[in-house]
Amino acid sequence: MIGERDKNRPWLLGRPEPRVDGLGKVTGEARFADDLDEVGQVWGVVLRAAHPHARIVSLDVEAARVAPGVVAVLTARDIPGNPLVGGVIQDQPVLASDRVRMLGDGVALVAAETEEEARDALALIRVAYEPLPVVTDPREALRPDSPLVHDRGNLVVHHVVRHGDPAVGFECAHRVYERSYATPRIEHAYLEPECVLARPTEGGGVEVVGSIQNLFSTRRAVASVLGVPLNRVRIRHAVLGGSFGGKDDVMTVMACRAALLARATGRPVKMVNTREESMLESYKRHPYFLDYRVGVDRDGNLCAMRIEIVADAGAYASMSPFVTYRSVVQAAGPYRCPHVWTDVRAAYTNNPYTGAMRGFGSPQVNFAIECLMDEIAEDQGLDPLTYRRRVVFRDGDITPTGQRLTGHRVSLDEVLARIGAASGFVDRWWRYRAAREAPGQVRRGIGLACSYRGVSLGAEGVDAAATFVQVQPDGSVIVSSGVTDMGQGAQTAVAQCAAEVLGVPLDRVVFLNTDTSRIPDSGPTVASRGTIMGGSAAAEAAAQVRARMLEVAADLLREPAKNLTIRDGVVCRAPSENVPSRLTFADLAAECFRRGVALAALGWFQSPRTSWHEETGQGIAYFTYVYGANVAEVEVDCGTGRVRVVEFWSVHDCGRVVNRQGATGQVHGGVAMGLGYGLLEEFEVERGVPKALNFDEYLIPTAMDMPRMHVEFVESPDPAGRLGQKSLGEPTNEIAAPAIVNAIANATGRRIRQIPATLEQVLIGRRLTREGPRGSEAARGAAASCKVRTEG
Amino acid sequence: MLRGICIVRPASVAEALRMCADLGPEGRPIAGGTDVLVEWRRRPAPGLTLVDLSRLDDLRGVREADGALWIGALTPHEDLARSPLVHEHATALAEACGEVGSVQIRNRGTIGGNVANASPCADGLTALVALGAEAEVASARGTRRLAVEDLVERPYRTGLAPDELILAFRVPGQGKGRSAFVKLGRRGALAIARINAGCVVEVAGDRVARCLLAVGSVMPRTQRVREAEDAVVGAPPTGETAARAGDVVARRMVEVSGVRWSTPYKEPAVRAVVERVLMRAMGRSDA
Repeated sequence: MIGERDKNRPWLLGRPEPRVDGLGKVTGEARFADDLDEVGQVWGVVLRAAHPHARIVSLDVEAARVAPGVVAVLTARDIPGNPLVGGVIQDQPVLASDRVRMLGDGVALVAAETEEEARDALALIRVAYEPLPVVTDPREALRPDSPLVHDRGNLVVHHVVRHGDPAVGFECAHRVYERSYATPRIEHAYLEPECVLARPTEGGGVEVVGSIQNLFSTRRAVASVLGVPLNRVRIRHAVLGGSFGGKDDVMTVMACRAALLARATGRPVKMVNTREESMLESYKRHPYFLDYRVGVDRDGNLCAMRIEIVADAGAYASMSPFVTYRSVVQAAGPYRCPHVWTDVRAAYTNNPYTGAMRGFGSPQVNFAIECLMDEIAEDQGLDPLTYRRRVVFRDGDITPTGQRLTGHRVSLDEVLARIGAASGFVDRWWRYRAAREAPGQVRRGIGLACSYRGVSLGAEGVDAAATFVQVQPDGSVIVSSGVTDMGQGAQTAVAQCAAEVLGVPLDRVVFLNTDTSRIPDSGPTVASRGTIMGGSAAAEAAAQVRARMLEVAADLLREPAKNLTIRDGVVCRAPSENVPSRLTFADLAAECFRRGVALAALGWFQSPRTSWHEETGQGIAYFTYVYGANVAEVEVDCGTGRVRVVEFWSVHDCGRVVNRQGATGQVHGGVAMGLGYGLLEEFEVERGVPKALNFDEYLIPTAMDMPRMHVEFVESPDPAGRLGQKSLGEPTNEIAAPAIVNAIANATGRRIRQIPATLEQVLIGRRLTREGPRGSEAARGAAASCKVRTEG
Repeated sequence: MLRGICIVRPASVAEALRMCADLGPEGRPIAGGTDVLVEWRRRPAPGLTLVDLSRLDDLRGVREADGALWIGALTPHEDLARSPLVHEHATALAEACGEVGSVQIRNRGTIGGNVANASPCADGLTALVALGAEAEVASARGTRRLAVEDLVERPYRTGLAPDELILAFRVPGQGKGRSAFVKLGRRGALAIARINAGCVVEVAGDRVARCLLAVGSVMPRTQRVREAEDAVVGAPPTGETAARAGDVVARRMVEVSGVRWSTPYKEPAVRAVVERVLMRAMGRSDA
C-alpha cells in the first residue's frame, strides 16, 4: 500500500514530462491504422442509403458479385449472428435489411482486390427504395402524428429530476426569466478518418486492429454479430489520430462489417472511410432545444428552475440515454437552488445519429445556464463574477439530484476568485460595458462561464478499469491498460502514475497499445475517466510490485521496508529524509528476478458507489465532481459581425495534476473546440441530407483563430483518485462557448441564444441558411452540394 | 483517388502553347493545382489532359517595366505577399495574396491560376481588378492584352479560348495613389472570402482625384463599381465619403445580384467593408 506520506508528496506527478508517445508521432514511426497492411488483404467498401428514410423494396447484388476483382458482396442476410448493434439500446443494423433511417446507413458491403474495383462494383448494386416520410425536428418527432423512425416510437429516453417543488419556489420569485436556447449538431472533426484491418482467425474468430476508441464495446458487438464467444474476437488498438468521443459506435459498425467480410472471404480486409464517408456516416454531437424558466428572489437567490430540453438523437439511440443523463444532472449549473425540475427527452429523427462527443451532454446545458446567469447578474446590478460567487456550490451544498457535495473540496469559489484575479475580470467587464456607446466599429468584451462536472460514468453503469504493470529484470517497465490513448495523453498519464509509485523515471516506461485479449474489460475510455480510472489502476498495480521489491531491498540494505522508498530510480531511506542508497531500481529488479519475486501485477480500480432513482432523478449521480471556469476576451467588429477571441483564461480544479504539459495541452485543445462550437461550427442537415461533407465548408478553428491562452490549475487532491487525480478532458471543452458568447454580449449589449455566433448571428441577430448548392457548385452544374452516393 | 489522369509537362512557353493548341478543349492548364485538383476529386474528368505549367520558370517573378509592374502568371501568392516591389507599387495585391488560404496553399497557388479559375470570391483577382491591371494572354495564334476585369465573363468562366494561357499581368503605376485590400472571412485563415474589396485612391489637395474600387463575392463576377467610384472622386477623403461609397455598392449589389439568402447580412456588411478599404487607402485608418 502507498502510505499517506507518499501520497502527499509526489516526486514525479505534476511534472511536465514529455509524452511517452511523442517522439514516434513527430518522427513518423507511430503506425496509424491506415499505415497497416497485410499480405493478401482485400478492400472493403460500403454502399450507403440513397434516401434518409425509405423501405428497401429490392436489392440486387448479382452484377456486383461478378464484377472484376470482386471477392465478396454481403447484405444483411449474410449476418450469422445478431444483426443489430448499440451500446445501450440495440437498434442499429450493421446493414439495413428492410429499411434505411438515415443517409449514412449501410445497405451492402463489397470486398475486392483493390479499392478502385471495390468502389466500381458499388455502382453495380441495384436498390429499389420506396421513400417514407422524413422527420428531422426532434420536437416534431415527439408529436403523436409524426412519422415513426422506429416502430417502438420516437422517444429514445426521458430523464427527469424532481427536486423540491418549483410551484412553491416560483411564489418567492421577484423576477422570472423564460429563455429558449438552441445548440448545433457538430462534427468531431478528428484528423484521421475511420480505418480498420480485420483478419480471420482460428475457430471462427477475428482479429481487428483499427482506429477504435472503445475496444471492449467493439469486441462485444463483433462477437455478437458473428455469433462467437468474446475470447474468439481480439480487438487491437492502432495509434489513433483523434477521437473526441467520436470513434465509438461508428468504429463498432465498421469493425463488424470488416469482420463479416473477413469471415466471408477468409482474407484480411481493410476498410478506410473517405472524409465524405466519415462525415456522412459518423455520429455527431446532439443538437439541443432548451427552455429555461428561472425564478430569482429579491436578494438575487435562485428560488426555482423549470427546465425542459429536447435532444435530437438522429436515427439511432447510440449514447443518447447516457448523454442526456449527464444533461439532466447538470442542467441547472453549479448553483444553489432549492426547487429544480428538469425534463430531458431525446427523440429519433432521420438526421445523422448523435452520440458521444467531448462534453457528453454538458456543453449544451452549460451554454444555456451560463448565458442565463449572466443576464440575471446584470439585472442584479452585479458583474457576472461577483454574482456567481454569491450563489455557487460550496462544501456540503446539495445538488438538484439531492446529492450532498462532500468527501472532496468544492473549490468553485476559489476557481472563480483565481480566474477573476488573473483576468482582471470585474474591472474590464464594467469598463467594456461602459464603452459600448463609444465611437468606432470594433468593441471589446469579456465574458465568464463556469461549471461543475461529475467525474467518470456516474450512475450510468459499472465503472472499473485494469492496468497491468510489469517490471523487467533490467528495471525497465511495461505498462498496459484497458484505457486507450486516442491522442489525449492517456499513455503518458497512466504510465506516469505507475512510474510515480514504482519510483522510476518516465523514460524507463513503455506503454503498450490496448489489446482486448491481454487486459480485462475496463469499460470505455470516455467521460474523462482515463486518468482517474486507468491511472488509479496503474497506481494499484505498481504499489503491489513495489511492496514486493521493497521487501527484497529491506533484506539487501538491512533496513525495515517501511523505512524505504524509491525515487527517480534509486532506493532511498525514509522517512525523515529521502537519503539515496547505492541500490538502484535496476539492480533491485535484477535481484528480485533472481529470487523469483513476481515483478508483475494487475491493478483493478473500481469507482466509489453511485446511485440513481429513475422516477425522481435523485441520487448520488457521480462519485465526485470537478470545477472549472473560463474567461474570454473578444473583439467584435460591429460592421461585419466578425468576432475574434483575443485572450482566454482557463482555471480548472482537476484534482492532482498528473502531467502539467498534458494538462495544459488538454486545456488548449478543449478551448479550441469550444471556440468552434461557439463561433463557427454547425453540421447542417436539410431534410435529412447533410449540406457539407468536408472541411472546405465545415469550418473548424485554425491556429490563427486561437487566442492568447492563460491556463491555471487549482489542485485539490481528491480521495476518489488513488493519487488524488480526477478529470480534465471534457471540463476544458464545455464552457468556452458560453464564455465567448457572454463576452459578445458584454461588447455589444445583445444576447445571442443560438450558437454558433456566426457573422450573421452577430451582425443581424439571426442565422441565414443557404438553400440548395453553394455558388461554385451551382455554377458548375452539379445537382447537389454533397456527393451522396446513390444506387446505379 | 485521382484515377486516369493524363498529364503533359511542357519545358517552354512555346511548347506549352503548342500543346494547348493541339489539345484544344481536351486540355486543362494546371499551375499550383489548388483549384484544379480539388475540382478533379469532386468531378473527375478522365477525358482531359492536364498541361502542367510548373516548369515554366520564365512566367515566375515580379519586375518593374516601363513604370508598371510585370508579374509572371506562375508567381505563387506567397511570393507576391512577401515582395517589397509589390508592397510598394501594388499594396492591395500584396495584402490580398497574403490572405489567401494558408502558407501551404499560398506557396502552391499562383496568381494566374487565381484569375483563370474565375471564382467570384478570388482575392488576387479583386486586387488586380482594383489596380486596373492588364493580362497578357497568348496562344500559338498570337498574343493579346486585355483588362483583367474583362477576362472574367461569369462565375468560374473566363473569356479565354481553350488554347490560350495567361502569361503575365501588368499592373500600371499608381502615381500618388494608394491601394488597399480588405477581406472578410469566417475565420482567421483558410477562409473563402464572404466579401472582399480592393481599391486605389489618389488624393489631390483636399479632394479625391482618382478612385478605383472593386469588390468580390458580392456580384456574379468580380468587378469595379463605377457608380461608387464616381461618388468618391471629387469628394473630400473622409469617413462620410467612404460610407457613401459603401451605400452605393450595397445598392448596386442588390440591383445586380437580386435578393439572395445572404442579402440581409451582406447589405450592411459590404457597406462596412467598402468603407474600411477606402479609409485605409485614404490613410485615414489602419483598421
